[in-house]
Amino acid sequence: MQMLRGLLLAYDYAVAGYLLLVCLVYFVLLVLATGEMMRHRRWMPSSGQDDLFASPLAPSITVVVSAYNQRGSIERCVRALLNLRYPTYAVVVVNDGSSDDTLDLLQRRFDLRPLDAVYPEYIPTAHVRGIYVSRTEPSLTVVDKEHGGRADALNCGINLARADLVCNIDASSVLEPDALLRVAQPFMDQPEQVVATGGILRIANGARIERGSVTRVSLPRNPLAMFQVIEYLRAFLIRHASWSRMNGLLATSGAFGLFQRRLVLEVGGYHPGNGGEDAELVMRIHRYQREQQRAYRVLFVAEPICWTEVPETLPALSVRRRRWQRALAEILIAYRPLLLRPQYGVFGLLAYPYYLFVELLGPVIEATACITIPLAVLMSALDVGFAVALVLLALGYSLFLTFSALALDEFGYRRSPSLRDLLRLSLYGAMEGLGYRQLAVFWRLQGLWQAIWRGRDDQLKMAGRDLGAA
Amino acid sequence: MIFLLVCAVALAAQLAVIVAHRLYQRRLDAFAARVRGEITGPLVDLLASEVTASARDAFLAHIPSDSRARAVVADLLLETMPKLRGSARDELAELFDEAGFTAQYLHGLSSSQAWRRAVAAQALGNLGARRAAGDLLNLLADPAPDVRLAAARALGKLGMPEVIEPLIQAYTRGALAYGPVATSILRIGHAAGLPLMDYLHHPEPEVRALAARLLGVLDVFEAGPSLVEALSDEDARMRTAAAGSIGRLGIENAALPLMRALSDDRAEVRLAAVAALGQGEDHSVAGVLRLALSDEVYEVRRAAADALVALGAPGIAELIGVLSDGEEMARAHAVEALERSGHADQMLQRWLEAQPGVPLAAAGEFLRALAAAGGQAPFEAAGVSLDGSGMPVRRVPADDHWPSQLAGVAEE
Repeated sequence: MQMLRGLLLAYDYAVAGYLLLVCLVYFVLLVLATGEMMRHRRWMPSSGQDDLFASPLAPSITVVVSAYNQRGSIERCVRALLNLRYPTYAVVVVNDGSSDDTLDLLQRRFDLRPLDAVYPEYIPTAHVRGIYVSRTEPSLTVVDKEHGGRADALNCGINLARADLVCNIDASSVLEPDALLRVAQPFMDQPEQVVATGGILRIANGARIERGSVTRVSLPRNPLAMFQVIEYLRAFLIRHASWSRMNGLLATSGAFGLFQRRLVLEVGGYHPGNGGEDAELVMRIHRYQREQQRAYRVLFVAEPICWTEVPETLPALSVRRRRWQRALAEILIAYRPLLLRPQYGVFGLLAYPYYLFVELLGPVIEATACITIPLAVLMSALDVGFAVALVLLALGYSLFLTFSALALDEFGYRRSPSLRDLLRLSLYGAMEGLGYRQLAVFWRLQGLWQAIWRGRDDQLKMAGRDLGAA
Repeated sequence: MIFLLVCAVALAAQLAVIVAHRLYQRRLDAFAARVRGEITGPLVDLLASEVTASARDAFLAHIPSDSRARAVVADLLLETMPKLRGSARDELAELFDEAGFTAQYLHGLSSSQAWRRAVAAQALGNLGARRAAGDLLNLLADPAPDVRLAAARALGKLGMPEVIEPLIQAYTRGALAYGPVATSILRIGHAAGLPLMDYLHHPEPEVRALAARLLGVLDVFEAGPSLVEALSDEDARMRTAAAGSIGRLGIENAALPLMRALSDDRAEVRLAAVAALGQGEDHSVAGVLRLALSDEVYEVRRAAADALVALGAPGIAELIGVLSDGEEMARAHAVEALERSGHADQMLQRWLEAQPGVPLAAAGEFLRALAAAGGQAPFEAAGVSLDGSGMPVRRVPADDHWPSQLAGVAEE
């Protein structure tokens, strides 16, 4: 019994140490994110987006939309894409073997006609059944293919793209009219260095969308969606902004990323069979560029907005969270040779360890602490005051980060709706630790479990493909 | 306990700061809206009629002395400036100068804070303040890359060809990237054309390529002979840029050198040459473009098919010819080009109208050739049902790999 108490005490002190370290890491990230926000606020007036719009030298872009059973949102998404403000771009919608009438809807709404086209299969994909062009929208191409997953659909679009840059976007998302201009600006300013950029995702639940444009911004009524608004703000305005500043960004936003097409083809495109295609591709790009000893940047651009809908039910949200965590685990396992290798610079020495110890293993520590701390208190191994302080520190720091994200948004980007909504967000931030956070930890644990025990074969396959691509 | 209390107070304070900022920002927005409202009327009146001395004085009298209000007015004028052209723009720039705003931004160029220097440079560029050119040129050597970028953009807006040389120098020493330099030179306009021609013989190949590309975009027809000569440059980037500009300018007598470029060992050069031939007026190139339909690189083949469509009747005739006697991949590209451009539908329709008594299933050589090539859309358009299966999509072999063939293009 004495030994068990000793072990519990040692573990709980380790948890306390881990918590302090995480607080420190997040503080550093927050400082960097604040710097990035200040930079954005100050430099925005001289960013020159109108120059890019007017320039005949602007890099061309192909926007690739993957659509699987998206009859509810596909028209809205495509209309928004066709109304973007950018000098030279085309849209390729890939119907990934939808079992609903997504393709029929597209055919009717955009007056599609079949095209007997040559399909350049630079990246192997599932069978392409047909290629269609619109009679009314010359820049729109629709591809109908057998179901192969999101990565396969994106690869198909990349094969057909002819532009300098490819932008991937989900069919459930809507881009703001200036989004492409803003996310493409770094490619114009630093063409030799910038290989990928990603914009910020904001939650469309609650917003009014008419004819492909967000006409009224407001917060969702659904509590689950509200919690996700807070999570997205923290993730993008703190994590993405800070890692982007250090060139250690693991993922562009999954639903909205812009890549050099040449480089994507060089590294073999998206890897099918993995839920985190974007993160995996960015990880591969980091490794490839470092191994080729090329100077490069993967940037997060905070202003271009992509509106996306998030799940509003527990089952749907749990599926998504498990998938994300499983994908993160698979990617980190497949790319474990990068860990702490100076050859991979900031990515290997800082970003990878952060994603491993904070993002991947965080839920494990948090869940075990939920058991060991009360147990140690019950067994009188741990002082009650210390235990309470530890729990309050964890919850309080989380709230501090939430308020910090709100402050970054308020001071730098001013995208939060009314003052009332701002207060609602704060309230939900305060309530996050009272059930939602624990649920999220549980789902992430499940995802990790699936990655370790059920996904071994997938990991091996992925690692094999990865080595082949390299 | 005290620690927890401090934490709670800190969190409450954090929230209070956010709320206070929102309330403060509301006041600022209301203030800015009021100032803008007060100045917009006189500004519109001023720009709507001939600017007299009294109208200028009346407008200047409306400019507030308070620094916050002046900043709002300056922002409004800077927003208005790029939307104006000609004398109205010059008048407004003069007013801006008289109101002391230009001097304020000139002073900002020497600020110790990089972002202030960049904002000042941007403003002076929007104003077209030529007297700031010297200071802006100095900023091309600024330690902050974003300041150099803002200075380059501003210099372009001044419309002075004299800034080309410093911009090129900044490019060759790596202080500025291709995009900003090229855009800035383009902003100078046609006046940049003749000075740029000198750079076609620059020792640095990337500078030669930059000049060749910009000469095309700026429509400098005088550069035609030099660009044709540049098609035999040792550097592929230069050859590519030259071919692209020749196509854009529609240079006469360039067909022969462009046709020679179709056998270049670099795919990007062949691609640019094919596109240029399609943009020209010389219909005799159709036969050569037809040969490019069998190029080893997909992008070149597709561009050749597009170029044949762009040539009009002679190109379409070649594409139809390919349908009956071309190799499989060339046929496939021909079918795609004819369908994409709508020519296949039109031709079939015309053919059917001309042969009313002929059974659709036996619809002549054209239909059979398309059928052999797998084209189905023209049949559907004419209400002719084939086997009802999905569209036949041809796959290009994976070894036909674009990035490795065209590495040089992206490097540019």
